[in-house]
Amino acid sequence: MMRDPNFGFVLAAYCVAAFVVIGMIAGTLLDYAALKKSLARLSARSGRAVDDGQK
Amino acid sequence: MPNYANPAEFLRLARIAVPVTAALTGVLFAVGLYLALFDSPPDYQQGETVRIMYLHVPSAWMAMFVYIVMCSAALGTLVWRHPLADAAQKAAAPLGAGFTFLCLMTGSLWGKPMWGTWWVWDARLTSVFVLFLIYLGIIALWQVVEDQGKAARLVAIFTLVGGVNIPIIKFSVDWWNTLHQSASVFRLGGPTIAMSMLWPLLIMALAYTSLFLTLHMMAIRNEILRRRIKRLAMIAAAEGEAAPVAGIFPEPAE
Repeated sequence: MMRDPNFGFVLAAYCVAAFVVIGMIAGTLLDYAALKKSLARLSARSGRAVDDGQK
Repeated sequence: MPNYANPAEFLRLARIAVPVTAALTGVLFAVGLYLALFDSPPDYQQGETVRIMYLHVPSAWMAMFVYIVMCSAALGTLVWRHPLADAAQKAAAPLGAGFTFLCLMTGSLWGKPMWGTWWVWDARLTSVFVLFLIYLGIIALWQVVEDQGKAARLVAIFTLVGGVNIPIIKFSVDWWNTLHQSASVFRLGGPTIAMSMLWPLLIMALAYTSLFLTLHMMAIRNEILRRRIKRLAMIAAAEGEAAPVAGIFPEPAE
């Protein structure tokens, strides 16, 4: 496969795909972590127990 | 029967389903990538470049599938006023944009060695680019309208109007002369692609679908949490403002 003259295009396509897929996963997980932190802070301040989707 | 329209029920379901679909996604990607990169043969004309197909075609299918999911959610918002429909729609838009971007990028990387150009304004490529712009428009609309209910209705109408682009994408290669090839999998008369390439393609498509289901559930969960935070912040603000006026909610002693 690596001897193919267009190998660089194949490699670039798989790199772009990895970047986009990892970006979507990381974006969702980081958003969740930030929201959980905000929710914990607010529920501690208000004294209300709030389901963060994990318990 | 559990009521999955209830956000609390949805969170309970997502807690169980997300690890299962995430594991399934991992397995499907592992098998799909192995078959795509090592097991499937090179094409007799395109050589190894055909391996871009295993990324490009499923991402194109997902770009359209996610939009159809969003149209269903838009109907849920406008017609049935389903409590989670607008959350589902809002959560799907960035994922749809991601798949469409991936489709455009891999298509360009496939087009250069095969067609001799990165881009051409033919009907298929242009209609997919329009789909990408529609996704960006929907994401922007959610950001600019303050009132969530109003934003949900506006986005739902915009999504349904934009849905006209989906059949245009699908049939663009039949209605107009395009550089892009016509359908070779979902067509009357069956697929024209060899089975040794069809299986890896279908497994990669399943992997993408499973990835979308996982991320969509996670993103809906995020949206539910975002709304809870907003509600709690409003309650906290209201109580904070009410306390000095009414004098009945004294600040707790530190």
